[in-house]
Amino acid sequence: MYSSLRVKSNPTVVEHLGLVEYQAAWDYQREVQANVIENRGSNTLILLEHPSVYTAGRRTQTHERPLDGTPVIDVDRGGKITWHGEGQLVGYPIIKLSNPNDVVGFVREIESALIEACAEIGLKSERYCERSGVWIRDEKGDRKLAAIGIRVAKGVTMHGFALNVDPDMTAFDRISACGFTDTGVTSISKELGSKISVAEVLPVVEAKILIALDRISK
Amino acid sequence: MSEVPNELHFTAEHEWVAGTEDPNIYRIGITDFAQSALGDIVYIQLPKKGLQVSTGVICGEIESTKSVSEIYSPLTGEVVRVNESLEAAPERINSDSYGAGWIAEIKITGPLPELMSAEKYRQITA
Repeated sequence: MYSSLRVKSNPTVVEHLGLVEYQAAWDYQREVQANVIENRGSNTLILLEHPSVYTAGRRTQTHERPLDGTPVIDVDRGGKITWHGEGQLVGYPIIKLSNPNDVVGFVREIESALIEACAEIGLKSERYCERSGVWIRDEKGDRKLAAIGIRVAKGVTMHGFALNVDPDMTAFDRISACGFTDTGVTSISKELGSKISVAEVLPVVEAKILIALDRISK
Repeated sequence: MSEVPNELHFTAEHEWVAGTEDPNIYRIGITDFAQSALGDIVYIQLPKKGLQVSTGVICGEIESTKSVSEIYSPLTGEVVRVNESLEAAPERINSDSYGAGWIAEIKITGPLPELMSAEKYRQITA
Protein backbone atom coordinates (compact mmCIF):
# COMPACT_ATOMS: atom_id res chain seq x y z
CA MET A 1 0.00 0.00 0.00
CA TYR A 2 1.95 2.97 -1.30
CA SER A 3 -0.21 5.58 0.33
CA SER A 4 0.68 4.50 3.85
CA LEU A 5 4.38 4.82 3.08
CA ARG A 6 4.10 8.45 2.11
CA VAL A 7 4.99 10.96 4.77
CA LYS A 8 2.15 13.44 4.98
CA SER A 9 2.67 16.89 6.39
CA ASN A 10 -0.92 16.91 7.57
CA PRO A 11 -2.05 13.42 8.63
CA THR A 12 -5.71 12.99 9.55
CA VAL A 13 -6.48 13.11 13.27
CA VAL A 14 -9.22 10.71 14.43
CA GLU A 15 -11.63 11.74 17.18
CA HIS A 16 -13.94 9.18 18.81
CA LEU A 17 -16.70 11.21 20.40
CA GLY A 18 -19.12 8.47 21.47
CA LEU A 19 -22.78 9.50 21.68
CA VAL A 20 -23.27 13.21 20.84
CA GLU A 21 -26.44 15.27 20.19
CA TYR A 22 -26.72 16.19 16.51
CA GLN A 23 -26.71 19.97 17.00
CA ALA A 24 -23.66 19.93 19.28
CA ALA A 25 -21.76 17.77 16.81
CA TRP A 26 -22.79 20.05 13.92
CA ASP A 27 -21.51 23.13 15.79
CA TYR A 28 -18.28 21.30 16.52
CA GLN A 29 -17.88 20.27 12.86
CA ARG A 30 -18.17 23.90 11.75
CA GLU A 31 -15.51 24.90 14.26
CA VAL A 32 -13.14 22.18 13.03
CA GLN A 33 -13.88 23.06 9.38
CA ALA A 34 -13.11 26.75 9.97
CA ASN A 35 -9.79 25.75 11.53
CA VAL A 36 -8.89 23.48 8.62
CA ILE A 37 -9.81 26.21 6.10
CA GLU A 38 -7.57 28.69 7.96
CA ASN A 39 -4.74 26.11 8.23
CA ARG A 40 -5.05 26.30 12.02
CA GLY A 41 -6.14 22.68 12.48
CA SER A 42 -5.41 19.20 11.15
CA ASN A 43 -7.54 17.22 8.77
CA THR A 44 -9.95 15.42 11.12
CA LEU A 45 -12.13 12.32 11.01
CA ILE A 46 -14.87 12.49 13.64
CA LEU A 47 -16.54 9.17 14.49
CA LEU A 48 -19.63 9.11 16.67
CA GLU A 49 -23.24 8.10 17.16
CA HIS A 50 -26.20 10.44 17.54
CA PRO A 51 -29.23 10.01 19.78
CA SER A 52 -32.35 9.52 17.63
CA VAL A 53 -32.89 12.51 15.30
CA TYR A 54 -34.23 13.34 11.84
CA THR A 55 -32.26 15.76 9.68
CA ALA A 56 -33.37 17.27 6.39
CA GLY A 57 -31.35 18.74 3.53
CA ARG A 58 -32.86 21.77 1.85
CA ARG A 59 -34.41 19.87 -1.04
CA THR A 60 -36.56 17.78 1.32
CA GLN A 61 -40.23 18.08 0.39
CA THR A 62 -43.01 18.38 2.92
CA HIS A 63 -44.47 14.97 2.12
CA GLU A 64 -41.09 13.33 2.80
CA ARG A 65 -41.06 14.58 6.40
CA PRO A 66 -42.52 12.58 9.32
CA LEU A 67 -46.28 12.92 9.29
CA ASP A 68 -46.68 12.91 13.06
CA GLY A 69 -44.87 16.14 13.86
CA THR A 70 -41.64 14.50 15.05
CA PRO A 71 -39.02 17.29 15.17
CA VAL A 72 -36.63 17.57 12.22
CA ILE A 73 -33.39 19.56 12.13
CA ASP A 74 -32.89 21.42 8.85
CA VAL A 75 -29.26 21.10 7.79
CA ASP A 76 -26.92 22.44 5.10
CA ARG A 77 -25.56 19.16 3.72
CA GLY A 78 -26.45 17.63 0.38
CA GLY A 79 -29.28 15.14 0.16
CA LYS A 80 -32.81 15.02 1.56
CA ILE A 81 -34.22 13.66 4.82
CA THR A 82 -32.59 10.94 6.88
CA TRP A 83 -32.53 9.51 10.37
CA HIS A 84 -29.63 9.11 12.79
CA GLY A 85 -29.65 7.12 16.00
CA GLU A 86 -27.80 4.69 18.21
CA GLY A 87 -26.50 1.66 16.36
CA GLN A 88 -25.54 3.79 13.37
CA LEU A 89 -21.88 4.68 12.88
CA VAL A 90 -21.55 8.29 11.76
CA GLY A 91 -18.32 9.65 10.29
CA TYR A 92 -17.53 13.28 9.54
CA PRO A 93 -14.32 13.63 7.50
CA ILE A 94 -13.27 17.27 7.65
CA ILE A 95 -10.40 17.43 5.22
CA LYS A 96 -8.77 19.77 2.73
CA LEU A 97 -9.24 18.16 -0.68
CA SER A 98 -6.13 17.94 -2.86
CA ASN A 99 -8.44 18.87 -5.74
CA PRO A 100 -10.81 21.36 -4.06
CA ASN A 101 -13.65 20.86 -6.54
CA ASP A 102 -13.57 17.12 -6.88
CA VAL A 103 -16.52 16.17 -4.74
CA VAL A 104 -17.41 13.32 -7.09
CA GLY A 105 -13.97 11.81 -6.44
CA PHE A 106 -14.26 12.41 -2.70
CA VAL A 107 -17.65 10.72 -2.41
CA ARG A 108 -16.44 7.82 -4.57
CA GLU A 109 -13.50 7.28 -2.19
CA ILE A 110 -15.77 7.29 0.87
CA GLU A 111 -18.14 4.85 -0.83
CA SER A 112 -15.25 2.55 -1.80
CA ALA A 113 -13.87 2.59 1.74
CA LEU A 114 -17.27 1.68 3.22
CA ILE A 115 -17.76 -1.07 0.63
CA GLU A 116 -14.32 -2.50 1.49
CA ALA A 117 -15.10 -2.32 5.22
CA CYS A 118 -18.38 -4.16 4.70
CA ALA A 119 -16.60 -6.80 2.61
CA GLU A 120 -14.17 -7.35 5.46
CA ILE A 121 -17.13 -7.89 7.80
CA GLY A 122 -18.53 -10.39 5.29
CA LEU A 123 -21.15 -8.31 3.52
CA LYS A 124 -21.16 -7.56 -0.20
CA SER A 125 -22.34 -4.04 -1.02
CA GLU A 126 -22.05 -1.68 -3.96
CA ARG A 127 -22.56 1.76 -5.45
CA TYR A 128 -25.80 2.77 -7.14
CA CYS A 129 -24.80 4.90 -10.15
CA GLU A 130 -25.88 8.50 -9.60
CA ARG A 131 -27.34 7.90 -6.14
CA SER A 132 -24.75 8.41 -3.46
CA GLY A 133 -24.29 6.01 -0.57
CA VAL A 134 -23.67 2.29 -0.22
CA TRP A 135 -26.32 -0.17 -1.27
CA ILE A 136 -27.23 -3.84 -1.17
CA ARG A 137 -28.69 -4.84 -4.52
CA ASP A 138 -29.99 -8.33 -5.15
CA GLU A 139 -33.12 -10.24 -6.14
CA LYS A 140 -34.84 -8.92 -2.99
CA GLY A 141 -34.49 -5.36 -4.28
CA ASP A 142 -32.32 -2.29 -3.66
CA ARG A 143 -31.76 -1.11 -0.11
CA LYS A 144 -29.48 1.52 1.33
CA LEU A 145 -26.90 0.52 3.91
CA ALA A 146 -25.02 3.81 4.27
CA ALA A 147 -26.05 7.38 3.46
CA ILE A 148 -23.64 10.10 2.39
CA GLY A 149 -24.29 13.86 2.56
CA ILE A 150 -21.49 16.37 2.15
CA ARG A 151 -20.85 20.08 2.15
CA VAL A 152 -17.71 21.66 0.73
CA ALA A 153 -16.47 25.15 1.60
CA LYS A 154 -13.16 26.54 0.33
CA GLY A 155 -12.14 23.02 -0.67
CA VAL A 156 -12.73 21.62 2.85
CA THR A 157 -15.38 18.95 3.43
CA MET A 158 -17.87 18.56 6.29
CA HIS A 159 -20.83 16.31 7.12
CA GLY A 160 -20.17 12.76 5.89
CA PHE A 161 -21.53 9.25 6.10
CA ALA A 162 -23.94 7.25 8.27
CA LEU A 163 -23.57 3.48 8.23
CA ASN A 164 -26.45 1.44 9.64
CA VAL A 165 -24.78 -1.17 11.82
CA ASP A 166 -27.53 -2.29 14.20
CA PRO A 167 -29.99 0.57 14.72
CA ASP A 168 -33.74 0.40 15.38
CA MET A 169 -34.74 0.39 11.72
CA THR A 170 -38.38 1.27 12.45
CA ALA A 171 -37.26 4.91 12.72
CA PHE A 172 -36.96 4.95 8.92
CA ASP A 173 -40.59 3.94 8.49
CA ARG A 174 -41.80 7.45 9.26
CA ILE A 175 -39.92 9.15 6.42
CA SER A 176 -39.09 8.67 2.75
CA ALA A 177 -35.40 8.20 3.48
CA CYS A 178 -33.36 10.40 1.16
CA GLY A 179 -36.50 11.07 -0.82
CA PHE A 180 -36.55 7.64 -2.45
CA THR A 181 -39.87 5.89 -2.45
CA ASP A 182 -38.86 2.98 -4.68
CA THR A 183 -36.13 1.60 -2.41
CA GLY A 184 -35.65 0.60 1.22
CA VAL A 185 -33.04 0.89 3.93
CA THR A 186 -31.15 -1.84 5.70
CA SER A 187 -28.42 -2.48 8.27
CA ILE A 188 -25.36 -4.70 8.52
CA SER A 189 -26.95 -6.79 11.32
CA LYS A 190 -30.15 -7.27 9.33
CA GLU A 191 -28.23 -8.37 6.21
CA LEU A 192 -25.88 -10.70 8.08
CA GLY A 193 -28.70 -12.12 10.17
CA SER A 194 -26.66 -11.75 13.34
CA LYS A 195 -26.07 -8.92 15.79
CA ILE A 196 -22.95 -6.86 15.26
CA SER A 197 -22.18 -3.71 17.23
CA VAL A 198 -20.85 -0.28 16.26
CA ALA A 199 -17.83 -1.02 18.47
CA GLU A 200 -16.98 -4.06 16.36
CA VAL A 201 -17.41 -2.30 13.02
CA LEU A 202 -15.75 0.99 13.94
CA PRO A 203 -12.05 -0.04 13.72
CA VAL A 204 -12.58 -1.66 10.30
CA VAL A 205 -14.35 1.42 8.92
CA GLU A 206 -11.82 3.77 10.49
CA ALA A 207 -8.87 1.98 8.89
CA LYS A 208 -10.44 1.93 5.40
CA ILE A 209 -11.63 5.55 5.56
CA LEU A 210 -8.19 6.77 6.67
CA ILE A 211 -6.51 5.11 3.69
CA ALA A 212 -9.07 6.77 1.39
CA LEU A 213 -8.66 10.19 3.01
CA ASP A 214 -4.91 9.96 2.68
CA ARG A 215 -5.30 9.62 -1.09
CA ILE A 216 -7.49 12.69 -1.56
CA SER A 217 -6.46 15.16 1.15
CA LYS A 218 -3.65 17.65 1.24
CA MET B 1 -10.47 16.80 -21.24
CA SER B 2 -12.87 19.59 -20.33
CA GLU B 3 -13.88 22.41 -22.62
CA VAL B 4 -12.23 25.83 -22.11
CA PRO B 5 -13.42 28.58 -24.53
CA ASN B 6 -10.64 30.97 -25.59
CA GLU B 7 -12.70 34.15 -25.22
CA LEU B 8 -13.45 33.71 -21.48
CA HIS B 9 -11.50 34.52 -18.31
CA PHE B 10 -11.19 32.16 -15.35
CA THR B 11 -10.60 31.98 -11.61
CA ALA B 12 -8.82 29.38 -9.49
CA GLU B 13 -12.26 28.59 -7.98
CA HIS B 14 -13.25 27.24 -11.44
CA GLU B 15 -15.52 30.08 -12.43
CA TRP B 16 -15.64 31.87 -15.76
CA VAL B 17 -16.12 35.56 -16.48
CA ALA B 18 -17.31 36.97 -19.83
CA GLY B 19 -17.77 40.53 -21.03
CA THR B 20 -21.22 41.76 -22.15
CA GLU B 21 -22.36 44.66 -24.33
CA ASP B 22 -22.12 46.93 -21.29
CA PRO B 23 -18.42 47.37 -20.47
CA ASN B 24 -19.17 47.44 -16.73
CA ILE B 25 -21.28 44.27 -16.67
CA TYR B 26 -19.80 40.78 -16.68
CA ARG B 27 -21.52 37.42 -16.89
CA ILE B 28 -20.30 34.63 -14.60
CA GLY B 29 -20.73 30.89 -14.32
CA ILE B 30 -18.85 27.74 -13.36
CA THR B 31 -16.55 25.93 -15.77
CA ASP B 32 -17.05 22.66 -17.58
CA PHE B 33 -14.30 21.21 -15.38
CA ALA B 34 -16.18 22.30 -12.23
CA GLN B 35 -19.58 20.95 -13.32
CA SER B 36 -18.04 17.58 -14.08
CA ALA B 37 -16.24 17.45 -10.70
CA LEU B 38 -19.45 18.38 -8.85
CA GLY B 39 -21.59 15.72 -10.51
CA ASP B 40 -25.26 15.94 -11.51
CA ILE B 41 -26.53 19.31 -10.32
CA VAL B 42 -29.97 19.16 -8.73
CA TYR B 43 -30.38 22.54 -7.03
CA ILE B 44 -28.92 26.02 -7.11
CA GLN B 45 -29.34 28.84 -4.65
CA LEU B 46 -28.77 31.88 -6.85
CA PRO B 47 -27.49 35.22 -5.57
CA LYS B 48 -30.27 37.79 -5.15
CA LYS B 49 -30.58 40.59 -7.68
CA GLY B 50 -29.20 43.76 -6.09
CA LEU B 51 -26.81 41.87 -3.83
CA GLN B 52 -23.46 43.58 -3.29
CA VAL B 53 -20.70 41.02 -3.74
CA SER B 54 -16.95 41.07 -3.47
CA THR B 55 -14.26 38.86 -4.91
CA GLY B 56 -13.94 35.54 -3.10
CA VAL B 57 -17.07 35.95 -0.96
CA ILE B 58 -19.89 33.36 -1.00
CA CYS B 59 -22.73 34.40 -3.30
CA GLY B 60 -24.68 31.17 -3.67
CA GLU B 61 -24.70 27.39 -3.37
CA ILE B 62 -24.79 24.54 -5.83
CA GLU B 63 -26.07 21.13 -4.83
CA SER B 64 -25.25 18.03 -6.83
CA THR B 65 -26.36 14.48 -6.11
CA LYS B 66 -23.04 14.25 -4.22
CA SER B 67 -22.69 17.44 -2.19
CA VAL B 68 -23.49 21.07 -1.47
CA SER B 69 -20.73 23.43 -2.62
CA GLU B 70 -20.43 27.17 -2.13
CA ILE B 71 -20.15 29.58 -5.07
CA TYR B 72 -17.70 32.45 -4.66
CA SER B 73 -18.08 35.72 -6.51
CA PRO B 74 -15.18 36.24 -8.91
CA LEU B 75 -15.87 40.00 -9.01
CA THR B 76 -16.68 42.95 -6.79
CA GLY B 77 -19.86 44.81 -7.61
CA GLU B 78 -23.64 44.43 -7.73
CA VAL B 79 -25.64 41.47 -9.03
CA VAL B 80 -27.82 42.97 -11.76
CA ARG B 81 -29.25 39.82 -13.39
CA VAL B 82 -29.54 36.20 -12.37
CA ASN B 83 -30.34 33.20 -14.52
CA GLU B 84 -33.69 32.31 -12.95
CA SER B 85 -34.24 29.52 -15.49
CA LEU B 86 -31.74 27.47 -13.47
CA GLU B 87 -34.20 27.20 -10.58
CA ALA B 88 -36.40 24.89 -12.67
CA ALA B 89 -33.56 23.40 -14.72
CA PRO B 90 -30.30 23.38 -12.72
CA GLU B 91 -29.01 20.54 -14.93
CA ARG B 92 -28.30 23.20 -17.59
CA ILE B 93 -25.13 23.91 -15.62
CA ASN B 94 -24.02 20.37 -16.49
CA SER B 95 -25.14 20.37 -20.10
CA ASP B 96 -24.14 23.91 -21.12
CA SER B 97 -21.98 25.48 -18.42
CA TYR B 98 -20.74 28.33 -20.64
CA GLY B 99 -24.10 29.05 -22.30
CA ALA B 100 -27.58 28.34 -20.88
CA GLY B 101 -25.93 27.46 -17.55
CA TRP B 102 -24.68 31.00 -16.82
CA ILE B 103 -25.36 32.04 -13.23
CA ALA B 104 -25.40 35.83 -12.85
CA GLU B 105 -24.35 39.18 -14.26
CA ILE B 106 -22.38 41.55 -12.09
CA LYS B 107 -21.92 45.29 -12.57
CA ILE B 108 -18.42 45.86 -11.33
CA THR B 109 -17.41 48.70 -9.05
CA GLY B 110 -13.73 49.34 -9.48
CA PRO B 111 -11.17 47.55 -11.59
CA LEU B 112 -11.43 43.92 -12.74
CA PRO B 113 -9.45 41.56 -10.51
CA GLU B 114 -6.66 39.55 -12.06
CA LEU B 115 -8.16 36.60 -13.91
CA MET B 116 -6.67 33.68 -15.81
CA SER B 117 -6.56 33.34 -19.57
CA ALA B 118 -8.00 30.21 -21.19
CA GLU B 119 -4.48 28.99 -21.80
CA LYS B 120 -3.50 29.37 -18.14
CA TYR B 121 -6.74 27.75 -16.98
CA ARG B 122 -6.12 24.78 -19.28
CA GLN B 123 -2.74 24.34 -17.62
CA ILE B 124 -4.15 24.20 -14.07
CA THR B 125 -6.92 21.78 -15.01
CA ALA B 126 -4.83 19.52 -17.26
